[in-house]
Amino acid sequence: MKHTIKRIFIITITALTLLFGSSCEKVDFGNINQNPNQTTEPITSALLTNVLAGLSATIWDQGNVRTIAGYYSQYYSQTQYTDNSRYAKTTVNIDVFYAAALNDLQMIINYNSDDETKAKAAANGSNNNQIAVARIVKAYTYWWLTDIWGNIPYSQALQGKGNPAYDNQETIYKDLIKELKEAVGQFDAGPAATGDILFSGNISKWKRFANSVRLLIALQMSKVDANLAKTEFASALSHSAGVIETNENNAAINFPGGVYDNTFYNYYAVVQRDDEAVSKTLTDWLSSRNDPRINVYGSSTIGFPYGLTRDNAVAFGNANTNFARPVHPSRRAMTSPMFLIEASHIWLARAEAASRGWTGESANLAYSKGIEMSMRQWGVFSDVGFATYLSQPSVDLGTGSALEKIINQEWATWYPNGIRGWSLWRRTDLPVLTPAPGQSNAIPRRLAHGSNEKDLNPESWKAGVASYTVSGQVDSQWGKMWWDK
Amino acid sequence: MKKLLLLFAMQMSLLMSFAQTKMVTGRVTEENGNGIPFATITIKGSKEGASADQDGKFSIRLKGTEILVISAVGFSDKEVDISGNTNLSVSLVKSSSDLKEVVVTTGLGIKKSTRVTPYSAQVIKSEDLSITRHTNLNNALAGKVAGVQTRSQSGAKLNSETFLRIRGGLGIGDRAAIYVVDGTITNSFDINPDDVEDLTVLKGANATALFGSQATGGAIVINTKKRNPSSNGIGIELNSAFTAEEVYVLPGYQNLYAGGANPDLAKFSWKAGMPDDWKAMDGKYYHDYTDDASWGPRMSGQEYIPWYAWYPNHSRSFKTGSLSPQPSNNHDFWRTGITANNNVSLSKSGQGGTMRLSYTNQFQSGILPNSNSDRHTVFFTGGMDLSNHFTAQTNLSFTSLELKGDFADGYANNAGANFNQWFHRDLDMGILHELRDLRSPYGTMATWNLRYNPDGYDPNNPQNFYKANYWDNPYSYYAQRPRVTYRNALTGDASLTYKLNNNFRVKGTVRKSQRNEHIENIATSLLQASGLQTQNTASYATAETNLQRYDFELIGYFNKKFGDFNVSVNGGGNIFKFKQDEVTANTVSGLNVPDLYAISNSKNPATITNLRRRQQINSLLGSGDIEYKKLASISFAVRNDWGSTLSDLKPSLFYPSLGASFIVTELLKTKPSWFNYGKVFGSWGRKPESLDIFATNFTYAVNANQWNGNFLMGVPNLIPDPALTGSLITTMEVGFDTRFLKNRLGLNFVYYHETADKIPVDIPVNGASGYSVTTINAAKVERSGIELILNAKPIAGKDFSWEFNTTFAYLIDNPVSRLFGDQTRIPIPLPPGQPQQFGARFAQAYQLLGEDWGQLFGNGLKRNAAGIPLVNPATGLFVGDPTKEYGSIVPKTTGGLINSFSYKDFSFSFALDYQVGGKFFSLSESWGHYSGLFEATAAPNDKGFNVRDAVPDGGGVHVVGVSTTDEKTPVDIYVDAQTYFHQFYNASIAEPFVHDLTYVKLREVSLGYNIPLKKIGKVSKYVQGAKISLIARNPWLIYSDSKDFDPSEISNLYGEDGQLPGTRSLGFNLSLRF
Repeated sequence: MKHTIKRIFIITITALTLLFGSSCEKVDFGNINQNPNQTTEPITSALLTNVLAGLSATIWDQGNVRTIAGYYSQYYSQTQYTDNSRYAKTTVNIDVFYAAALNDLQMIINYNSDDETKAKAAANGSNNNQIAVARIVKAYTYWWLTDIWGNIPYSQALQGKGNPAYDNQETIYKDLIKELKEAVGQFDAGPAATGDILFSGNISKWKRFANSVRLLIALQMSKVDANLAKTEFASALSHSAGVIETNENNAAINFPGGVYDNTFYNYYAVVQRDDEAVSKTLTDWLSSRNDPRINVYGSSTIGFPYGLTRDNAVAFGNANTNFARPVHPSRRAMTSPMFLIEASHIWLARAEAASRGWTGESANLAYSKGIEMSMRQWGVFSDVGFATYLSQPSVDLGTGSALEKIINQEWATWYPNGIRGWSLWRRTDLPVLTPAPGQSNAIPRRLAHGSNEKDLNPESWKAGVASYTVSGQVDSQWGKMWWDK
Repeated sequence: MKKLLLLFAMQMSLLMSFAQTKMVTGRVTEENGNGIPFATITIKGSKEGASADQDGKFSIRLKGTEILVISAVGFSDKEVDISGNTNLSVSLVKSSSDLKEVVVTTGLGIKKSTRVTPYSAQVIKSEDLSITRHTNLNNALAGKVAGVQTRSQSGAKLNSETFLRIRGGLGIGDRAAIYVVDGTITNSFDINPDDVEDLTVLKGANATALFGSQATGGAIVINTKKRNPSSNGIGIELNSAFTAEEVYVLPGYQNLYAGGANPDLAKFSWKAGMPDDWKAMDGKYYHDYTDDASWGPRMSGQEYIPWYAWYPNHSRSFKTGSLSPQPSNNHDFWRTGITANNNVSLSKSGQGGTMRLSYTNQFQSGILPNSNSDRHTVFFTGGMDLSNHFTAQTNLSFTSLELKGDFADGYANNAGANFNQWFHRDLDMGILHELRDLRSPYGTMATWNLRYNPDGYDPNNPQNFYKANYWDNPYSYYAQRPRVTYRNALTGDASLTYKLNNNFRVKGTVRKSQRNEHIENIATSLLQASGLQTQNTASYATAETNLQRYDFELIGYFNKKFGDFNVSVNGGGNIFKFKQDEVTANTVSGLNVPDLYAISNSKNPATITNLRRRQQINSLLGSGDIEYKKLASISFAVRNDWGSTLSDLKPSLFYPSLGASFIVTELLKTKPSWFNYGKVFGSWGRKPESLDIFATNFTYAVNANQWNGNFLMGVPNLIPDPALTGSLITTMEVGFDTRFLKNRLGLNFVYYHETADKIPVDIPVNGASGYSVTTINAAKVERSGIELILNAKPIAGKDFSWEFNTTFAYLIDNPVSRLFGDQTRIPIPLPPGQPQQFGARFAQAYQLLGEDWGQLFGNGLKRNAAGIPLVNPATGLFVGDPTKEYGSIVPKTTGGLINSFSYKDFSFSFALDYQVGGKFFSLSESWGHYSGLFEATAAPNDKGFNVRDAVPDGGGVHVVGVSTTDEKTPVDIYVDAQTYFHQFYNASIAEPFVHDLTYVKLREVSLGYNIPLKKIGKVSKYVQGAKISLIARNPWLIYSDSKDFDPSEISNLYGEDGQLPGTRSLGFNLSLRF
C-alpha cells in the first residue's frame, strides 16, 4: 500500500512539474500574444499613400465639416434637413484629424529622422525627400484646420502625449510659411518618395505645390497684416521653383476607381443619397454673368435657394426634381479627379495681389488667365465665348471695383472647395452673401469644437477659445479668426 | 514558490491518511434512495468521524466495532452498529423541519455545504428556474438572485443574449458573468435550461478566486441533471410546451394628424406627360408622401389620394380613400409568435454506471416577419465505475441553432424604429400587408414614402417617382433581407478519477467548449433598385467564426476528519488554451450581376478580414475548508496564473481568498424551537485581472485595398502603456444566514464592499497628441451594498401549501473614485457585440469622477437656481444645459418574488421582479416627438385646444419658465407645436426623454395540475407522473416609469434606440414521467 501511495505522489509531482515548467516566475508562451495580422514596423510609403488618399475630403466630405464650410460659403444648399445651412450650432471634433493624417505624416518624418530607423525608411525614397513631402502635406492640412477653428493645437501637438496647448493662429500661420519654405529647400537629388499618388514622385511639382500653398496662406493675411502678406506673397511667387501656372501642374487627386472613387460620385452613385444641391446664390452669380461653368458646376442649372426651412426645401425639391446636384455627372465619374489647388486659383490670387499693389504684375492679365484656366479645367472654354465673357461689365475689370470683381471670381473658381470659399468670404466679405432667410444670426465665422476638446483637453481648450466668446457664448461660431478682423 | 507550498500541503495530507486499520464505506440516503449530501458520520463517544460527499457516499477507517452516528441537516440522527459490515446503506428519516442541506458549487466543480461557505452563494433549483420553461437561462433568472440585474431583450429578437449585471458596475465598462457548466466555461445562450439541475451564483473576488480573472463579472455555476445512481429501471421524462406570443408594450401615438410635413392637403392637377390613368385623380387632394414625419393634415375621414393609388395594376389603383386614423397600425404589424419547446430525457443506472440522455427541440417563429429560430440540443452525461479505484465521467452538450431574421434594432431600423421614429399615422397596416408584393410599372417595390409628391413627377425620369424616399413598405423590406445564422456549439468534459481511498482522490479532466458560427446576410438587388435614399445597397455578407477553449486539469482532493477538525482540501493545476478564428467577407458597393449573392460578385473588391486570437494561461490552484465540530470553519482558495497576455514586467498573478463561518446555533445548549439555524460569516478575496489578448500590442494594419498598386497603412490610434497590467479587485463580505420556526422561515443577509483599482482604461486622449486612445492603469471603482433573501413557507398543510422566496438588493454606493490624472469624466465603452453609441449628441453614459458608476450625462434643460427652466421670452424655447447629470444607469434596488401555492393536485406559481432607480434615455421617444408621432404632439393643451392648433387660435404648447435674460422674470407663453417639439433635436436636449428604469413586472405565471394517475387506473403502471400547466411569460408590466418602452428590456447600455417592442406569451406545458 505504502508503495502505491509513493508512486501516486511521484506521478502527481512529476505531472505538475511537466505542466508548469521548472521556473516559478515566468513561462514562455512564444509570440502567441502578437497579432499575426499586423506588423510592428510602419511602411512610410504606405503611410504617405494613406494620407494622400484622404485629401479629396478637404474639398467635399459628404455632409460633414468641410461640406458645412460649403454651406456657409453658399456653394451648396441643403435640400432635406436644413439645420446646418440655417446655422444650427454644429460641433465637430478637430482632434480626429490629428490622430489620422497628421500623425501618419509625423510618423513619416520621425521614421526618416530617427537614427535607428532612417536607413530602413530610405527604402521608400531618400530621407530628405520623404520628410519634405510630409512637411508640405502637414502644412496644407494644418492650414485648413486653422482656417476652420482658428487657434488650434500646433507646436505641442503630435508628440504622443499630454494635453497640447493651442497656438495662436498668427503663430501657426507664420510657422506654416516657414515649414513650406524649408520643405522646398529640403528636397535632395536622392530617390523621390514612393507611394506618392499626388505627384508620382515629381519633385518639381511638389515644389510648385508648396510655393502655391505658401502664396495662398500669405494672401489670407491680407486683412490683418497687409505688409507681411505682401512680403510673403512676393517671396513665394518669386521662388525659383515657381508656382502652379498651368493646369498640368494642378494638385489633383486622380482616383483609380473601385473602392477609391470620386467623392461626389461616391455620394450619389454608391451611397445613393439624393440630397445636397448647388446653391442658387452660385447659379445666380454664374447665370448673371453668362458663365459657361454653370453647365458643369451642377447636374443642372437649377440652383437650390439657400437656407430654406425643411418644409420649404421639400416643397422646392418636389417642384424642381431636377435641381442641380453638385458637379455635373460628366465631371464626377468614378475616376474623375478632384483638385486641391488649380492654376486658376493661383492666377486669381496673383490678380488680387497685383490689384492690391503688392506686385508689379498686371492684374488684368492674371485675372483673365485665372478665369481661362478655370474654364479650361472644367472643359467649357472657347475663344469666342471667353472674349465675350470678359467684356461683360460684370466681369470686365475696366469698370467699377477691380478688386471686388477679382475676389468674386476667386469665390466662383474655388467651387467646390467650401473651406476656401468660406475663408475668402470671411477675409473679404465678398461676394455679398445674404444669410439664410429668417435667421437673425449672420453667417458663422468659424466652427465650434466638439466634445473631445472640452472633455479631453479642457484647459487648453478654455485658453485657446478665450477670444471666441461672443455675446456670452463660449467657443462661439461667430468668434472671429485672427485674419478676420 | 506558492506552488511548492501547495504541493507540500498536499503531500502532507497524503501521508497523514494511512494510520488506521479498517475501512468502512457506505452511502447515506433519503427514504426514496436519493443521496443526502454532506451527511456527518461520527464514531459514537469519540470526536472522530467523516463527512459524506455530495452523493451521500462516505468512508471511514475504524479501529474496532464502534457505533456510528449518522446525522444530516433536516433529518433525524441515526445510530448504526457496523458489526463487521463494511459496506453500509443508511437511510435517514426526514425530521419535522423542511430544511435540506443546500449544496453550493464553486470552482473546479467543488461542492460544499453552505455551512462552510463564507460568502454569498445563492443556489437556484431547477423547479424555480423552470416555472414557465423560459427558452433563455438569463431570463429565467430574472429577479431570482439577490443583487443580479437582468437586462432582457425584446422577445422579437429570437435567441438574443440578455445581459446579467451582478452588483452594479466594477470597471470602466460593464462586465458579464461567466457561465460554468459542470466545470466548463461556456456561453449563456448555449445552455438549455431543461438540463439544469441547479445553479450557484458566485459574485465577488472572495467567491471566485478559483476561476482567476475569467470570472471578474461573477460566475453562474451550473450543475446539469444527472441520473441518480440508486434509481431503478429506466427514467423517461417528457416536457412539451407550446406558447403563443404577441406584441405587448407599444408607445402611445397621436391619432389625429396624418403623415407629411405639410399640414394641408395639396390639390393634384394632372399635367401632360403624367400617366393617363392619373386623370382619374385630377382635382383630388393628397398629403405629403415624401416627408416621413406625421406633421400632416388633420384626419377627419376626408377624401384623399392614398400612396398606393399612384401605382397601377391593383384593385385600389387610381382611387381615392378616406383619410382616417389608424390607431393600431403598429400593433397590427407584428405577427403572433409561436414557441414549441419539446424535451425528452432518458436515464438509466446499472451496475457501475449511470447515464442520462436528453434531447430538446426549441422552435420559435418570431413576431417580426420572416424570423424564426430552430434549436436542437443533445445532452449526455454518464459515469462509469471502472474499478474500485477508477471512475470515469463525461458531460457533453451539443447545440445546433438555425436563426433567421433581421433583428437589427438601432436607429432607423425598419420595424422598431420605423414606427416610433419616422412614420405616418394614417397608414393602414392591413393595406401595407395586402400590397407587400405590389410593384411599380418599373418593377420596383411600392412604398408609402414616395421620393416625390405627384407634382414632382418627371416624365423624363418616371421610374424615380415610384421609388422610396427613405422607407420601403416594411413587409416588402423584411422579405428582401434574408439573414441566417447557423451556430453549432459543443461543450463538455471527460474526466478520470483515481480514488485511492475515501480520503484521497485525484481527478484529471479535459474540457472543451467550442462554437462554430456561419452567418449570411443579404440585401437584395430589388431592395437597392426600389429606393432613392434608403441607402440599401444590394449586398452579400458572410462570416465564419470558430471559438475554442480547452482546459486540462489535474486536481487532488483530500478529505479527512482529525479529531474535532474536518479537513477538506484540494489542489492542482490547470492549463487553459483559447483560440478564436474568424473570417468575414462582404461585397462592397453593390453587386455586378443582380440577384447573384456571392462574394465574387462584389462590384468593388470585396472586403475580407480575418481574426486570429490565441491565449494560454497556466495555473496552480487550491482551496480548502477546515471545520471545527460543526461550529466554526475557515475556508480558503488560492490560484496563481501565468498568462500569455501578461507583460514581462508582471508575468504572473496571484489570487488569494480567505473566509470564516460560525454557526451560532451550535453554541446554544438547547436550541430554542423558533431558532433553528444561525450562521455568521465573513470573507475577503483579491483578484488581479489578466489583460486582454493583444492589449499590449502596438502594430500597423495593412489596408486590403490598394490605390493603383500602392498599398495603404495608418498609424494606429491606440497606444498602450508598456507597463500595463490588469486591475486589482478586492472584495470583503459579511453576512448571516438564519432559519426560524422549524425552518419555515429563512433569512439570509449579506453586506459587501468591493474595490477595483488600477483598472486599465482605454482612455480617449485628445487626438492632437497624435493618438486618440491610450490604455493605462488608472481608474478605481468601488461598490457596496446589501443583499437579502427571505424564504418562507407560511402554510404547509397536507392539501394546501404556500411558499415564497423573495430577494432584495440595494446598492448603497458605487462610486468611480478615480479616473486618471485630473480627468473628471470619460464615456463608457460599450460591451463587445453591442451596437455603437447612439444619441451621443443628446446624452450618453459616462464615468464621472466621484459619482456612481455609469452616469447618464448630457444635455438637459438649463434652469435657474430655483430649478425653473430658462425660456427665451421671444421664442418660448428652452436652453440646453450640456452638463446635466441625470443619475446612474444602474438601478439602486433590484429584487423579485417567487410565490407558489399548491392545493391537492393543483399548483400555482408566479414570479415577479422589480427594480427601482437607474436612468435610461429613449432616442425613439426623442424622434417620435420630433416626427409628430407620439401622443403629446397632438394632445389638448390646458385651454382645451389641440397643441397643433395655431397659437392665436388657442393652440400651442404651454411653456412656463423664467426669462433667459435675467433668469427671474417669469415667462408664460404658448409655442407652436412643431417648433416646440423640434427644439429638443435642434438644441440636442435629452431631458424630456430620460426616464427611470423603475418597473415591476410579472414575469412568469404557471397554473399546474398533477393528473391523478392512480385514479385513472392502469396508466399509472406506465406513467409515474403527469402534469399539465398553463403558462404565461411576461404577462403584465405592472408598473413602469416609461409607459412607451419596457424598461426591463432596454436594448442598449444606457437606453434604447429603435428598440423592438416587448412581447408576452401564453401557452401550456405538458410534463410526463415514465
